[in-house]
Amino acid sequence: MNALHAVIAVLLASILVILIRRKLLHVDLSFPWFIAIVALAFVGSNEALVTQIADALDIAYAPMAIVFLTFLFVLSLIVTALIGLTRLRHRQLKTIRHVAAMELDLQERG
Amino acid sequence: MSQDHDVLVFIASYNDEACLHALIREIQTQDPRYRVLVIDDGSETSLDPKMEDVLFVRLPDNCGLGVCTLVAFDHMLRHGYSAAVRVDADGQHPVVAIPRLLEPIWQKKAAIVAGVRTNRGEGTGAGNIVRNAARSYYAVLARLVTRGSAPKDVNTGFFAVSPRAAETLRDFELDRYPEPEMYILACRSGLSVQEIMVKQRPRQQGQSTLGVGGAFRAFLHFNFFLLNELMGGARR
Repeated sequence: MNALHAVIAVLLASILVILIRRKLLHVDLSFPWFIAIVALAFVGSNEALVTQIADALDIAYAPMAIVFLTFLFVLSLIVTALIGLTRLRHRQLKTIRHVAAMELDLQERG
Repeated sequence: MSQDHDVLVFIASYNDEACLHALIREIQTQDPRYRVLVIDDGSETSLDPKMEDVLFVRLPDNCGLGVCTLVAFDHMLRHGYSAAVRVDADGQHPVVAIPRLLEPIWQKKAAIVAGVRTNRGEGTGAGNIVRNAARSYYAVLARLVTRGSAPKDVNTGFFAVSPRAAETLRDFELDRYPEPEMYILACRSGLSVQEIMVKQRPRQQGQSTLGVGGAFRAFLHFNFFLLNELMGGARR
């Protein structure tokens, strides 16, 4: 791994840690991001692996394999985030129903 | 629950305050057994019915008619109401038809009764042609997947439900514009659905919340719902 690869990986990991510490990102939701950073850092620093992946995917220009992998990671991260958001929405609606039921119970008791 | 009310008439409202008071009064004078529940679906300015004997709850966000319907079903079941009726806040639903809507439930002939709008296709212009085509699409597919037991107008929001129907439907996730899904789920859950003919009144206030974007979203939602139903069942 050259110095620039290491700096980028550490920088991305630091941003993630800061987001978690400031409670802007939940630890559970940050897990896929950590995996993505580690994986990209590993692939980016391993030329032989990049060439192998490019060969396997019939990519003529080997570095494009990293772009392809990054695209896949971003896509899976977005899907993970959307799943998290959907679950949150279901929980929110359940809570809203529960609170509304309690509020109406009080009114019925008068 | 008070002894003199055993029908919960719920009005889901989003920015429909102007004719709300008149509508509530109309419902209350119709029959003293009707208990009105107003659900403010996160209106931009909070509704305030300021009327006695009206249950009122404001949702913190615009959650859609499906959630409002589920809130009403929850309340109906928790307090032992004999039936629940949904009336739109824009004054289009004929309140005088509520007894006819309830009749098949009292006679135990139906678990859900839908008020099919006899004048639903009226109007002119390209918009009306598209709306009618969409309604026909919903109706044909709904009748296909329910083997003809869904009502002719699956977009009507004027309906009455029995406690059994509410108990069954409250377990499903109803979203925005839930009517077609609700009727299909009811039929496919083995509930008996009947229809009565009603004449929809002109809108008293505002405009439909279903714009072009909303209509596309509802259309997409309906098709995903059907696909999901045909593949094994809706999410509970």
